[in-house]
Amino acid sequence: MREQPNSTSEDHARLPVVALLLWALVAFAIPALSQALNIVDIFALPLGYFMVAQGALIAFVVISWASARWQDRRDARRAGER
Amino acid sequence: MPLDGQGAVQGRAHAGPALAGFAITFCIGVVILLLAARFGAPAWSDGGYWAIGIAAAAAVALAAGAPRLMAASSSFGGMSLAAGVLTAAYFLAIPGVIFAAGHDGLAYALGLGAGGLLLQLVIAPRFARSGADSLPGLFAARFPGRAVALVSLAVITASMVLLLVAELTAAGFVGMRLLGVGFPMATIAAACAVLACFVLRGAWGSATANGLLYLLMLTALLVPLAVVSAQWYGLPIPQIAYANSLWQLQGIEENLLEQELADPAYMRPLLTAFLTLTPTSFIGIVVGLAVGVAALPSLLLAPLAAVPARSARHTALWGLGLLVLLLTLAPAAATYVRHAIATLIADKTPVAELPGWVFAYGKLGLVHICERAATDISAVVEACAALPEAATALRLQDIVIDPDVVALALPEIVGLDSIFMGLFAVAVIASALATAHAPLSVIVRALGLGSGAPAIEPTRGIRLGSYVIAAAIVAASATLALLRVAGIIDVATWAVVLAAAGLFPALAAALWWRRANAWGAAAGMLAGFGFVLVYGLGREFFAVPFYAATSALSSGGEAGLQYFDELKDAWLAAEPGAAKDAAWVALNAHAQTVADWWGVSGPATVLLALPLGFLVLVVVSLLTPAARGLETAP
Repeated sequence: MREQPNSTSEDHARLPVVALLLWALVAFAIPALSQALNIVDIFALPLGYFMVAQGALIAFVVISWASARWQDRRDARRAGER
Repeated sequence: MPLDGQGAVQGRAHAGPALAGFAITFCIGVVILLLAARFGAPAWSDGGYWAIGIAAAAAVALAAGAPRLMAASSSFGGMSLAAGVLTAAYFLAIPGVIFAAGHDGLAYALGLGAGGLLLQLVIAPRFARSGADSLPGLFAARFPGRAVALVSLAVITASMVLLLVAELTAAGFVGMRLLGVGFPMATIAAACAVLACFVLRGAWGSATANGLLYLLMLTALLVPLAVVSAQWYGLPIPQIAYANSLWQLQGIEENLLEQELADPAYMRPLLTAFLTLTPTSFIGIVVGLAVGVAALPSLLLAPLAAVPARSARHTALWGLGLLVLLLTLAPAAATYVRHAIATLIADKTPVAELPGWVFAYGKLGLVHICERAATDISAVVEACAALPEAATALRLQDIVIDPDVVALALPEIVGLDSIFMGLFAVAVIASALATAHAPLSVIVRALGLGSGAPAIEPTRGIRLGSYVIAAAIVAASATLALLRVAGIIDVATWAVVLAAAGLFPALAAALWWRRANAWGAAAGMLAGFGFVLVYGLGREFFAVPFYAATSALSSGGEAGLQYFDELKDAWLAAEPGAAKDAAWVALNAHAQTVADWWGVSGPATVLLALPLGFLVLVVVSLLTPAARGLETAP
């Protein structure tokens, strides 16, 4: 049976504000600071380039995973309260 | 679509044989081709890759018909999502744009990744919970009435047709290389195959089966890069190993500059930011791609539609993770290609000993040496001798590769067996043909054919109607692709940027703001989409009046305005005839460089269109009465 669109356990789903702020920080601050970060090296890669090429993308996945986990737990807690 | 435990179990049970069948067919094809290549039939085997690519796409289309495959696990849904975000266009073009533009090319990969996250955070869970089967379905339920239907149809069609153009162009380039025919022939062949796959799958077929393609794409990019990394640096993890290549490349490029084998004006070191894009354009591309991916109608379909929010969240999470896995390979690919070519120059390779790939792509007009297509050795010698500053050895700026084929040529450029090129070509063709289904399907749905009733078997008339629409759209896209007005990356970026400017405000409001009504949504879409069109066309074709009217907002400043006035006076004073025309050309060229508000140009237009779209949506919604009894948004 399909889950009803207005399922009770998720009535209060809100915008994940913290995750969105982190998203904006990673997507916009890192490219802007890329040249300044290039002074530092990590794994023999200049940090600024590495952050734009790979670090930011990995950060997106981490934010996504943490946010999904947090929302799953909150849903489970809500379901438990009822 | 049942989503209870039993359905999911059956889904996995069906996914298994489909996956196995796909893998076995694919392996048999590759083995046959390997044997053919061993026994000396290279031309024949190249055509074979084309056939395998089409067969793989057809297999995916058939697998979509397997009834329970659509209820597969979130990891499989994520694979199809990643394939849908990347499409053949970005898959082929992103390594190339990083190769050509250096650091600034990373904006495209960053934007797609950011889009994956935005989709997961803001759009996917609520869209899934709304119960709509597609974006047009959501709009029809949330904003009833003809205004939204018409405006969204226009925006969706424009965006999806551009995406199809980019995909057909990608398939066309690969077809050129494999079949040895011209670009028009290859593109038309690809367009026919797209249509055949569409008919095979049906307009309402599931996109989830595209997950099979992700495996193919990953293999095709990861395996050659891992082999090169292992051969060059003894570490088969390209994402880490290419750091060595970056440093070596930097050393080689400095050497080339010292020996005057490279022109500093053409040099774009990979590590230096903002050589080809201004920071505004860089951020604009990231925003445009991120917001556009979140609102891309071709993604808001099967694995994300009408499932529980939790399931959509996890599917999108998997999709993002798998997408990032592929995107982080792109800088490695670009670096290795640059390294190989810079080494070629540093070794002062004589023209007669240039590797075979130069001429293989030169014959197709995709590699130019000394400003002429490198068709064969004598043509290259002749072209280089004809240069005004005839040099003894080739210089870095003498070799120019079309960025759109860099990824395809990678295995040959770094010196791997041509089987890897074949594998990559198969991945591009199969993904181009299969991921072209979603844009077509969305346009058919936006036209109102059988919308809202995915469970009901469409009647024969409706099905035939969908084929006719798809044929018309494919024909239009192929015609546009044949014009070749821009590279793959630009066309694909505009497709996503149009979705961002036109659809995102209305989509976000539909899901998150109960007060939004149909008038507001239609006005917001029209404002965002219209702004991009008017601004882009105005800058391109009416630069002089555009600049004259809005010079106060220009990035050119006082000096730009002064020069503009001088040129304008010169034009007004010039005698009618050739002098007047020349003065106009100078005036128009200058106006095009300064006709930008706050330095915004190209895809960065979304930075202005997006706030405008939101503003218009909010104002118009508040000025008109609230819709009643529509509780789709919680």
